[in-house]
Amino acid sequence: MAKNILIVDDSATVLMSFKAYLEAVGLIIETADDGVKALAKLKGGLKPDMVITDINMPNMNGIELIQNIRALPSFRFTPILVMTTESQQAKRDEAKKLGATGWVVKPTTPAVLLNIIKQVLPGA
Amino acid sequence: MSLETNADHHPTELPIITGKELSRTTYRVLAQLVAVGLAALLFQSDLNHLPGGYRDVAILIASALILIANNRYLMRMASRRTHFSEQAVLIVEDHLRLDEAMGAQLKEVIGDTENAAMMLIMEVEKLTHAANTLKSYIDNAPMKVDGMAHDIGESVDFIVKIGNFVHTLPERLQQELETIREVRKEIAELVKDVAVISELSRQADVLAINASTVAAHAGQFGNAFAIVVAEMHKLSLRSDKLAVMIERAQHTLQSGLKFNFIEESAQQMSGAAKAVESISRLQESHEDMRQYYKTLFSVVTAYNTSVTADIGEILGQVQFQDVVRQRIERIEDAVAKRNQLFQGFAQRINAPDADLLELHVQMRKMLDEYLLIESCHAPSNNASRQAESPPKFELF
Repeated sequence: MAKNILIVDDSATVLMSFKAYLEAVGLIIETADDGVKALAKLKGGLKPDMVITDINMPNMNGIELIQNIRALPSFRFTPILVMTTESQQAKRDEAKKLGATGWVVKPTTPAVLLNIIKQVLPGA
Repeated sequence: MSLETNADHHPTELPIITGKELSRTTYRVLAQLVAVGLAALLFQSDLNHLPGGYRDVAILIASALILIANNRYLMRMASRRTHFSEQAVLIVEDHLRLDEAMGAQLKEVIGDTENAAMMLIMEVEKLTHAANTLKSYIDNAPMKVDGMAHDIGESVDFIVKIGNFVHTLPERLQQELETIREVRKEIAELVKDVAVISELSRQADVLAINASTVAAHAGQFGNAFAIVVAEMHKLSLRSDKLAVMIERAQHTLQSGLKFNFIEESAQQMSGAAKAVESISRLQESHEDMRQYYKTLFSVVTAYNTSVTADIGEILGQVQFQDVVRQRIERIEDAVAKRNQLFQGFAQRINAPDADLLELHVQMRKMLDEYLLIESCHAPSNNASRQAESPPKFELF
């Protein structure tokens, strides 16, 4: 069964490029352009197998989103991958502490991201 | 805000105090002071002949002249300083307007690059769809071709078997013909026997007629003999019928076995050999075609895989639009902070405690903050910074 992934990023370019590539390889991609909309989708019944989020976003940033997702009982163990241009260790540690699964520095190719997804979600 | 609004301001038309002019003024004042001093000395020497009261008045006038000259100089400097402050404010304002105008242009650049990137993604999406359709077709094609090849192979095998059978058919026919020739000989012998049977039948019939005459003469005593004669006559008739039937059968066989195909068999054999040769060539062509398509599919599959990888790379490169956008936004933030500093300084430039050095310190602090924020983001092409950065991918 095809895996469902929620990608959260305020860049339309990033959302479109990853959606185009990952859907072409058989994944189901949902998108949101900030943390608030992503959280609303999750509370509205969306059950992704994995969440990929940016850090710097308007309304609710990625760190706050991770915190909010982990507070939802249904998503305590859902893998959350951070994908951002930020590379500093302090931010990584903060995300890790809040329950993030991994960290990917942008820009990255969709093929590299797909490999990472396959590592996190075997069978994807 | 457009750049045209800056045309309302002409800071270059206002008087500017240059360093050269300032030096010239200083020299002029110093020269005046020296002149006044020398005049005072002359006065002192010349005024020694004057009565004390006049001499004091003269010195007083000279001092007053010096004071007036100094005051005029200070007033002119103060006036120029006020002018300088106003000019500085105007320059700062123009600077801010220029920044605002450039900021608007940068926002447009971000919008343009984003639109271009999105168009590119949409085009690439179509390309990806086409590539995937082709890939799916190519992935399935070998299976279909294998199925077809299997069917063709079976058919060819069957045709080859038939061909081989056809190839041996004239030989077999020749064997059958030999058998038929033997049968003909046997039939010919049998025909001879039929003639004998016919003759025997005729003689038996003649004998029966004579015997019936003899039986008639014998009267009642010939009755039993007459019965035997009647049976002999029946036997004669049946033998005759049989002979006729055998003769007809022999004629039928003779007419049926004209053996035209004996002459035709050589042609048939040649045709069969050609058919077998054609089938063999067909088999070879089929194998060649299979190999050709196999190679073709391999090449197209490799090409398609490469295209898919390239599409992935293109989509990856498109993300640099987002990286550029974020960099420009960080630059805009830094410029906005710098402008705030300038505005604040421009407002306080006439204040007694205004200090240009303070602005310098704040600017340095702001630069450090900007560089720190930039260092938190992954470098694109700076190899040494990349080496120092944490890994680009990490699973916790």
